[in-house]
Amino acid sequence: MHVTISQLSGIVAYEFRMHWRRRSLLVVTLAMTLITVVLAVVTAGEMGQDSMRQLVSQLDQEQGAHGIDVLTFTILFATWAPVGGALAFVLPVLVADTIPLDEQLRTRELLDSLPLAIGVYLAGKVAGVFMAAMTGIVFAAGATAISWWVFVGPYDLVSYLQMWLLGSGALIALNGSLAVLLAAGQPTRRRAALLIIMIWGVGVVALGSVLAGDSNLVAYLSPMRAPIIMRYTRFDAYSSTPVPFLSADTAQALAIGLIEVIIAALVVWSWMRRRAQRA
Amino acid sequence: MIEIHDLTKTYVGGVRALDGLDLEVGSGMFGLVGPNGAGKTTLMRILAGIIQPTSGTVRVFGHDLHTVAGRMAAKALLGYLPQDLGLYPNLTGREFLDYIAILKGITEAGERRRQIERLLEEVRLVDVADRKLKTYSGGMRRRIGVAQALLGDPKLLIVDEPTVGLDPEERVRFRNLLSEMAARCTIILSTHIVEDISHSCNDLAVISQGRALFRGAPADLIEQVRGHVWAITTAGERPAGDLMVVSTLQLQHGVQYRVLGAPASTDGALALEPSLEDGYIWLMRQRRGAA
Repeated sequence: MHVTISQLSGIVAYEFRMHWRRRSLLVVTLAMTLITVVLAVVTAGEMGQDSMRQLVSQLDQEQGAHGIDVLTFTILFATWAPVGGALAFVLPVLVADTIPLDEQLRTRELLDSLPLAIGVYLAGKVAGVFMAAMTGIVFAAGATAISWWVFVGPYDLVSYLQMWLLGSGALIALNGSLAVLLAAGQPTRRRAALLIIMIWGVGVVALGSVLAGDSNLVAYLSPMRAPIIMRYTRFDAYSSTPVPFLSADTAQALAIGLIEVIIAALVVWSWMRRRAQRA
Repeated sequence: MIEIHDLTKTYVGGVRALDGLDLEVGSGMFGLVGPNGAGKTTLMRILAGIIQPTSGTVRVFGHDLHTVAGRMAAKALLGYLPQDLGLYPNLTGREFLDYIAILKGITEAGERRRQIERLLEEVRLVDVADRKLKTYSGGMRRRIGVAQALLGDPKLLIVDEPTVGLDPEERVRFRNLLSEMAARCTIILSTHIVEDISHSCNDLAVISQGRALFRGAPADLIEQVRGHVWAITTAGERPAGDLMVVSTLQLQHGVQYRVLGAPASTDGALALEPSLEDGYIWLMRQRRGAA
């Protein structure tokens, strides 16, 4: 057990390093941060911080809404659009090569000669991707939270960080893991990326049919994770409630996504085991 | 002790790489030599637990490689240097060794550090240990491969074509390192470069088409060709007789051939002391003749 935990944490730690050193994660994190900061600057420039505060207090006084919640929602909406999009579409393509890279770099043969269980290898790879991506998210959340505060003014910081950590965390855990697992059988980075683009493409088509009202189930099955993605775009400005992450539909999307990840993990595990026995 | 009995491996598509191989390997350095496609790498990969045999039994220090538990137990005793070792280009040499040490089950960080430093010294990579692997030369990559194989003080070290791509100096250094290691563990050295075997192995097997053609000491293989190795100098024409030319040396006034077999005339032919390479080539020639 001690050896298994040591191996698992070792894979996570080195996968973390390798992902950051390949730079693609760094570029996406910086892009998400930069876009959000620019949005904060542009919003402040458009409206001016004073007029923003005036608007918040006006809403408070005249319309009975909690102005701070309206402002928070505006910030969440503006931030979540690029972040949710990047995590839903771009991240899966970037991390798809996690396992194929061992084939492409020809480290697979050496790994196969080590006393390493397939389950530990897979769990380490998936957890490594999660840790690497979440580190970027924590950085981006902190940097952008400060930007909004400085350029636009006080808002509900808890809701903001909750969006970053829970919303992003859910997308990374589900879509990142699924991409790593689904692309496990590909021999090269390129083919892994193409496969994920293809699967995610089908996901978008499926989402399109959902938006047209065809099937609700597809919304939950689709890697678009529509209920999670849409979470911060639906808000009743006058209900004076902050934006909770967990609701019936996000919980359902999380549960279904988790089942998808577990099924994918079991299929990949059996396939790798079978491959080892038949090699 | 490694025991191999009636081992067969047939790949998808019907290619039979091993064909009823029987072999026992004790301690020290064991050489496995044979032509390309003889089945050496297949045997190495089976011993390393990477692929499964089609039939037959393999036991590594008593662990049956047919079972998952047996394979895992055998892998824990193993150091493996594949023919074509891949490395993670963005890790440094030290990080790569640490990663492999963790995966080999060395859980204690202090022990890992101690082993890594010792091995970096042994393979003379201390100075470049913190450089990324993508900056390593072919020789350095081979040496870091050796270091990773030696992590965890394996009882069995499997090295597949280890000197391919090394310059002569590196090759000698590598052979010496393996010879030193042979005092501590069993080494199976697979190669088609006979010279590597002749300098380091006390026991060897020649395999061809998945079967063992010879098993014994290098001296026994050399003995088989004694009396059949000649140096014949001509003006340029190939020597007559049922001969196999092993090497050709251009002299100032003619050409000297090193040949195996029976020359048409021993006049002007000089009997030579056979080498292991002569023994190997003689064996393969006889095999072809028999076939």
